[in-house]
Amino acid sequence: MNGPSPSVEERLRRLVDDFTAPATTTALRAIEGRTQVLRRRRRVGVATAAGVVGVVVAVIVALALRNDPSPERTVELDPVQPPEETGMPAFTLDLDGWEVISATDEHDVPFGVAPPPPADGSTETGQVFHPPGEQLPSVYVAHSPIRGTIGQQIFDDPVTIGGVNGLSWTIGEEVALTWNPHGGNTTVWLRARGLPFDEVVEFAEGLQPRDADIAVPPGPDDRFGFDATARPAGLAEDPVAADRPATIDQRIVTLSKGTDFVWITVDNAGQRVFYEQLSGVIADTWASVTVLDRPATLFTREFGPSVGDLDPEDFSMAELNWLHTTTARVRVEISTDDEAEIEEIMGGLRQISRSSWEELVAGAPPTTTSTSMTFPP
Amino acid sequence: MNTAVGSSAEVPSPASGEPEAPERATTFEELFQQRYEPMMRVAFLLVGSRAEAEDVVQDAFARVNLRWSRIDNPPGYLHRCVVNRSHDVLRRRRVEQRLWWMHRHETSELDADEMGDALAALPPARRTAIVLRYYAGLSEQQIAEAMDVRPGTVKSLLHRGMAELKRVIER
Repeated sequence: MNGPSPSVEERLRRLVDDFTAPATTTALRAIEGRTQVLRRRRRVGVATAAGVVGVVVAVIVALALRNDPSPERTVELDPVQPPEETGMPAFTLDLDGWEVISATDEHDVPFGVAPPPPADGSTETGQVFHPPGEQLPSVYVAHSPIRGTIGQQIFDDPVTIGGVNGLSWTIGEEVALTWNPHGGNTTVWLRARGLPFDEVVEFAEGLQPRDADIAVPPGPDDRFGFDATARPAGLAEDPVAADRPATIDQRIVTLSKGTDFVWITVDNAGQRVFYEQLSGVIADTWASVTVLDRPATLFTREFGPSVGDLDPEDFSMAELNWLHTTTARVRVEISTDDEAEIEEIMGGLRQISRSSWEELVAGAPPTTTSTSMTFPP
Repeated sequence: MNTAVGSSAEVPSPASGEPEAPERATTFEELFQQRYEPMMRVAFLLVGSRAEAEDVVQDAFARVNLRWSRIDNPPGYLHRCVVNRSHDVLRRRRVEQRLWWMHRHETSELDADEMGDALAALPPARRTAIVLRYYAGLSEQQIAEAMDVRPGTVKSLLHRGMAELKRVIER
């Protein structure tokens, strides 16, 4: 009989040795915001919750005011704001009734593991195609060394791309294709949105490899990527930067109006991450919109499957994404999928100056709290 | 080697990697102050990403907050919410990775370590049981409640999970 294995605990602890996540007021505010969203969703089916929400809103407003010596948290808006040298713009909502309840700057936030440079000198590529000035329809093509055998899953359909057997998957307006060209030495993943299946396959058929022969493992002279010779009308290639950061800076502002919430997150993750992340999203609806003169995507999806007695359909949220500069990406999460509200919020987004942003941060609650909060049931 | 990994039906007792809360929280804020960081660490071990762990834990606290007056055992309910939300994240990621494997670059912060690799490769239920037992220090009964399964199932999950980790642990 063997005894206990202390090394298991030790090894698990080692994985989180450097992981710190203090219980800050910022985190508490975020939880409050989520609580309000949950409460709002529940209110739909629970008439008696109406009064409770009012009390909670009053608590939040009171807290916001208590943490700000000035009851007027107005922000000087700069509708025409030149890009700042830091490349990190700031935004808020210029709409009646919306209050800033939190504004934070975070630096050197770990951002996953940047892929290590391939020992063999090869590079994987990501290519994006969309109409100039619009984000949809779009096609994203990733080309990499072989990543294992493609196995058919229950929802996959066989497809042939350039004489090579592959698989396809269609979800709503999205089409995904994958196949192994170069004699099976490489893998292509293609995601398309807003294009019919046949056009996507035609596009894929027209992808001409930049390098006809790629070895396993790839050599330093092997080149990944394609020239797209059968692009649907209007689609152009948007050159994607190669870099992907290991850490990012980000600024997050949370706003509320009654039981509605908006979270605006700006970071410097850059163009490649912007497209990669969007390509990985599975959403219920997609739309191409313009925000602050930038092409943006708007999608809605469930906030998350249910836990406890909350229904999953009560958690639909909307999300706007756009690249404001080559490095600054902006994500606006909206606690509703109501089209009219989303449109109003889109119209109320404003870029603000650095000094205005610093005012917002200074007016936000401190990072530690001594307040005692209780919430109504 | 002094280990029972994968070699016995009995699962060794954990030495908790996470200190127990000093006392039972009487307010939501106390619970938040006591359990936020420990829960973040548990969620990080489960989902392997700081950003998603934060999402999981804040959502879990929000759900506890929402039901504060009606919950008999807030820490237990919190564990359950963290486990459920982590599984939601892993489910969604599995689908998204099928469609787009590069998403993994942003969700694999544990992979820098061999143990992280092995942990990430475990099926979610086994991974959860292992983390709750050997990192969070929960009893089999507590894990069963958090995962909404029978204690016998927890024993099986731990046994199989540890068997899969054996290769790493014995090095």
